[in-house]
Amino acid sequence: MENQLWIKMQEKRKKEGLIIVFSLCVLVGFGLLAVNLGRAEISIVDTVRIIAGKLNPNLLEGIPDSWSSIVWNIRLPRILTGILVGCGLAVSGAVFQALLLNPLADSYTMGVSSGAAFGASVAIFINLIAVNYHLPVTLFAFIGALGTLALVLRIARVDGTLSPSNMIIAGIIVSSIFSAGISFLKSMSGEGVSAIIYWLMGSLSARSWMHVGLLVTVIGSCMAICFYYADDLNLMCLGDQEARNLGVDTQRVRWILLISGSLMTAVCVSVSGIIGFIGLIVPHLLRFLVGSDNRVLLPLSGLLGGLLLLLADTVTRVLLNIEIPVGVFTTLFGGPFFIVIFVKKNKTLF
Amino acid sequence: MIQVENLSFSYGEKKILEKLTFDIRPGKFTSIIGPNGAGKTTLFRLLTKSLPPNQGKVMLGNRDLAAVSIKDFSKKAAVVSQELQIRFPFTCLEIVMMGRAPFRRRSGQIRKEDLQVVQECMEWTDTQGLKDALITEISGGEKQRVMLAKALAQSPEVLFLDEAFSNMDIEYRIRFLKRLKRLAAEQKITVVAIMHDLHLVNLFSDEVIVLKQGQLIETDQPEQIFTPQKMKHVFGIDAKRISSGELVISAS
Repeated sequence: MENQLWIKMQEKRKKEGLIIVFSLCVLVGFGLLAVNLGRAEISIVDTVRIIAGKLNPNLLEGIPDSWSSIVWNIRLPRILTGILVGCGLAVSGAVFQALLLNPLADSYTMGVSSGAAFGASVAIFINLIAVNYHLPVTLFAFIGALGTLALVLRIARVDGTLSPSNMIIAGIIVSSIFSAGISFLKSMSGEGVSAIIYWLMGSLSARSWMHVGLLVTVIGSCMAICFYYADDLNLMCLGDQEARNLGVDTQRVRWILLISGSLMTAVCVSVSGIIGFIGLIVPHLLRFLVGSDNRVLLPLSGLLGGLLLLLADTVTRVLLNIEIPVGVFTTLFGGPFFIVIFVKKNKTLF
Repeated sequence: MIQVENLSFSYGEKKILEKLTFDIRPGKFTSIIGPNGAGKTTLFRLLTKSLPPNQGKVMLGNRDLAAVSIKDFSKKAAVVSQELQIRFPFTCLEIVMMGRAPFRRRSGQIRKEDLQVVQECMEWTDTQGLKDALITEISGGEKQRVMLAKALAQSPEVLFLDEAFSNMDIEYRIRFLKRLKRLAAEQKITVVAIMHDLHLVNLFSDEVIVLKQGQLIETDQPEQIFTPQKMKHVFGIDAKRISSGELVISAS
């Protein structure tokens, strides 16, 4: 009897490992495929040669410099940005859902995105009215996001402790203030308003290796921290008291994970604007498929989030001839999809 | 096992508990009773280290509870709380396995001997059939059985129960109270329970702690507690223990 269950569990572990490896392969495969898609027709073989050519220049023989430049300077940074942003949003979404004890929370519930959007709007606005300035929008967005995080944590903190409901309320309040601030800036920027609006819609076009570097550093380290605490996060899904009774120092773990999750969101929003629904839908969908164990859920969320955003961006970039901001696209498809899951599963929203 | 010394607690100006002193003996089933607002839940939270006392202290096996780390406490004591909202679809097996968390290594991988304990606890609580069921989709009574299994999986020396059977049907309540009482006696586990049903308190407790308005009225065996005078004084009801040992509460 117990042996049977033990074997069953070992098999489940193995299966979960295989799913993760498989997803990783699919992601890499689609990544390469996406590099090869675009207006300039460059075959997969040439794409691989151009990438490998960075290590071994002999492989580059016979490939035009313009191709190399398209792949290396335009497509790869954009594709990697897409994968990393999708990954960061989905993992932070899963972490926030567990921390806030609310399956409907996402990376943006804490108001970090509004802060980033406000920071970006300020930079764009100043760039518009003061001709001599050229403020870096990404940096301002990141500062806005960090400032918001500090503010929300400060408001939500009562007697040195953070409760999930306080955090949600503080996030909502701060978000609405920043939204009003953004509207104010929009109304003041006259004809230049389109620059702000376009940024807010979320896009991955024209991203550079600088963006990729920033994403890799922040998301990589924060994700490692989240994975390390995944098992404690499982216990925290039962509520603060239960987790403490099971030996988790919940205040400490909550602070660490909140800051890691928020940093990931902040860097994603700063680089790509607001891309909706990835952080909500991916962890949610995966819970139906593989269950709630965060040790499996977090890595898979990262892989699926990266894949989804890559697909969405590739579709808007290649198939549709007009450049739709990918944030609009994900929300346009993600929203109804979310409704379908709920109706099918016949779940109540709360 | 547990010594409470001069324990007081207040929320701001409002005094909840005043200078309680009593012992809880190992291997006994001890119940805490008292009317609403007597301070039962606050006392429970002080005993389970989820509130720090304003004054006085709680000793757990010769150590001041305040000096025991959260981790060490979780290896000694398990708590089943009254109402638990779980919104994430964990399987019941996963939930019960969480009871082994205090003993696991960082990797979180469960060991064979942990699984053995988990299976015994699920059998003990008649939940082995719920292994693959989702905690979000079972009934309130079933959920309480799973939470009890999880607490037992912690292999606790002290088991704290706050209305842990409130959603179970009467048959299960009696079955588990019987089993718990036997477990307490055989394995020297200390059980501390808050229960509202005085009949069950009377039938299954070795010791009863009576609170009223934040004061300790008395701590004694059920036969000394459930007398007409004391019941009138504490709860304002007419009740007495008849010769067969059962409690009779009249509705006058």
